[in-house]
Amino acid sequence: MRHVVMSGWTPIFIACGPRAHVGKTLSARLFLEFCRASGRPPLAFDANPHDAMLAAATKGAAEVVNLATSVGQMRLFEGMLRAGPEPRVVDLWHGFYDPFLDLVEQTDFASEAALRDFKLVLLLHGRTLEEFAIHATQLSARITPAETIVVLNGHVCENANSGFGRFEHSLTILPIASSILRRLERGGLGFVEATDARHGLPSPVARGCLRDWLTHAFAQFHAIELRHRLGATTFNPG
Amino acid sequence: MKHSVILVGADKGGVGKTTTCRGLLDYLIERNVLPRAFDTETPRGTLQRFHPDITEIVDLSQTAGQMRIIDTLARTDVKASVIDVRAGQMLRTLAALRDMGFLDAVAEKRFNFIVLHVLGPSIASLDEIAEAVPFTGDAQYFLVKNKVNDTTFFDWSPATAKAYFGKIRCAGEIVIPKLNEMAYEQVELAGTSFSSFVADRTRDGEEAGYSFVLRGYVRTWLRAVYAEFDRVQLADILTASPGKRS
Repeated sequence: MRHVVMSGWTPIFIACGPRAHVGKTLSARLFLEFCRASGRPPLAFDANPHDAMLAAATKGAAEVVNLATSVGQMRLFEGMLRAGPEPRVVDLWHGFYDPFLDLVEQTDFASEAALRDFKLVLLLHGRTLEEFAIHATQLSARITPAETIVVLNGHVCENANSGFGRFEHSLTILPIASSILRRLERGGLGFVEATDARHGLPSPVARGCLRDWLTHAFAQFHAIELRHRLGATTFNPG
Repeated sequence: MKHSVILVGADKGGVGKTTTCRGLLDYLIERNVLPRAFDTETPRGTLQRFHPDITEIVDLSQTAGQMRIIDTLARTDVKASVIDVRAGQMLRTLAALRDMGFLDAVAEKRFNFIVLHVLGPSIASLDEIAEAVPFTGDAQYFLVKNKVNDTTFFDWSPATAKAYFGKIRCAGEIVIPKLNEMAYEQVELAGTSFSSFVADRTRDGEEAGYSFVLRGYVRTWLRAVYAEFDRVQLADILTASPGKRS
């Protein structure tokens, strides 16, 4: 009998997109909470120095970096490549989308990340099928090796249920009642924390909705992780 | 393959002569033209700090220093000698090369002579062009626009640009792009060649741990510098056999 050992997985998730208000921070925050809930707190970077929402929502767990400065670039890129088993997640401000891609190309970051056994995963955000198609193609051409995952955020994507089958990888974030999100924000609660009966949301209905919503999102992150880990599976003769 | 003497100079200081030299030395090594270099910043040297293995400090204002370079041209196995001329010495050096008969030897096609005249964004720097012309008739004379800042070299003033660049017979213009300041400073601290810095190596060949981002900036900049030297076919000029080029 042979034992199957799945490989380790140290991803660098980058929530990105050339437009504002398409859910990049929400995706980054979901992934961050997924990692924490899995017992692997990630290294998180909030690359929106003007409105560091990820840092605020995670009570400073994300380091704020300004890509407009060389120091900020060094902190982000060298932080992403820091040795260690922690997953990495970046919330990239839309204003830094092109400069970030330029920098990734200039530094040959994707190859360096692969060399150090990191899996670069680009979570592409947008609103329409057309813009997803254009930017996904550009990302695949410019950044390699990397996996581009189109994020269908039910809060912002038009026709989220049709036509997205053309993309090899996609991730769906279902809509959730805005009243729940507002409540979380007011109470300074994390997503997972808010599902707790004692310390979380007071309404069992709201907690149930949040739990279902998180389960849907986390299941997809888990599927992505399994796909990567199984993709690099090694077989040891037993 | 004739021996090539590449003089990198400017009378104006702070225009990037040594930076140009450093980029050039990396380029020559990359194109398999083994160079030697002479640093005329006596007594301490500047270029030598970055390329210690191939650089010698000489005093070009002294006959002994001139002999150290010119008298060894025929003997050395190396086929390119790069001279980093210190500020204020370019015209004097050209005059000395003429007086010692080196320019006559160039006219007789015994040597290649390439002048990289590094320009800064000032009228004083551009005024040097006319002064250098009498010495560069048989040389491959290149104007190097080194973008130490965001200068346009007076592109916005056609009359000024024409007055300085329009009437000169030169082999071409080379534009050295601006390098990220922090990247420049880290290479300066490292005291190594640009190519070693990109390869993350110390002067002794050990792994250095330089900033990944800054190495990326230097790599991109160095590629652009190489592309400029390639655009003016510098490597071809150096490696051409005596019969092929006039």
